[in-house]
Amino acid sequence: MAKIHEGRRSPSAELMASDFVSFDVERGELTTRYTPPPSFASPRGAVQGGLIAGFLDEVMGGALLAVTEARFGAAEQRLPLNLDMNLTYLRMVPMETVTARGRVLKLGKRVAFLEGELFDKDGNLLVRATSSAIPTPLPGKDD
Amino acid sequence: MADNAILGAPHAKLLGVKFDHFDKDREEITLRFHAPDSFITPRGSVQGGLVAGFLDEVMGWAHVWATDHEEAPLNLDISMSLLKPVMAGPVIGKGRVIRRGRKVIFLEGELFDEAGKLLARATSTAIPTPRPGGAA
Repeated sequence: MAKIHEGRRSPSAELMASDFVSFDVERGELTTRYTPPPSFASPRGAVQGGLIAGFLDEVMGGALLAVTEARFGAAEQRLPLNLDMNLTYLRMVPMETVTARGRVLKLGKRVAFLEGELFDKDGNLLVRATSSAIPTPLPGKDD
Repeated sequence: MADNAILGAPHAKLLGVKFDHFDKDREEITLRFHAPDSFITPRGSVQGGLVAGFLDEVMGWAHVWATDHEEAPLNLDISMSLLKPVMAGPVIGKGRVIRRGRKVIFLEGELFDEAGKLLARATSTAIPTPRPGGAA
């Protein structure tokens, strides 16, 4: 399963040092670790709030990819084209490795509803996110 | 007037932020960004989540300027709509303070391409805090 990620490390995934942890097929839940690059630091010494959405987008997108592959096969993988994203900031995100979980709440033909959370190393919930997205075939699949 | 030194946090450099102007009456700031290549996904545009980085920046600086650099927002939430793909390169951001209370502030931000097309918009609820790092 880790392969599903390694195959497509985009510049953005590379930037955030995306690291696959596990995929729970039953729950359709992807777990990934991210390490914020020094360039994500705000004057508060934590990750800038907006850039935190980068981690959540990555894990929610990965969840959709993994779920569509598990259900329909590699040829039918889908990635989200995000229409919106809503974030709730419960705690500051430290400049250290964080764990992210992403799930597909509902997968339709035209719209997918995604959800994600970010945790610190002690398991404290830092941020949660939801997103509506259009599931699309993988870009550059035929390249 | 605005030296870009004040925009010198690590993330500000990453976003390629430059001050354009601040409209005191509207409490609206205009910033210019340069979306880096490292933000790009296989779609060839900036990763949707990272778009919030620009919007956060422009909303935050609206609040900082509206308070004469005394305060900065601590975000409670950000809601963002992604209307068009944001490409690597120049991006223009506008942020404004919708309501500034003592305990809570409401912010709004938009991103445009150079042709003036709206790419993304966001709102945010935040707590005003003394500016970290002060008025350095």
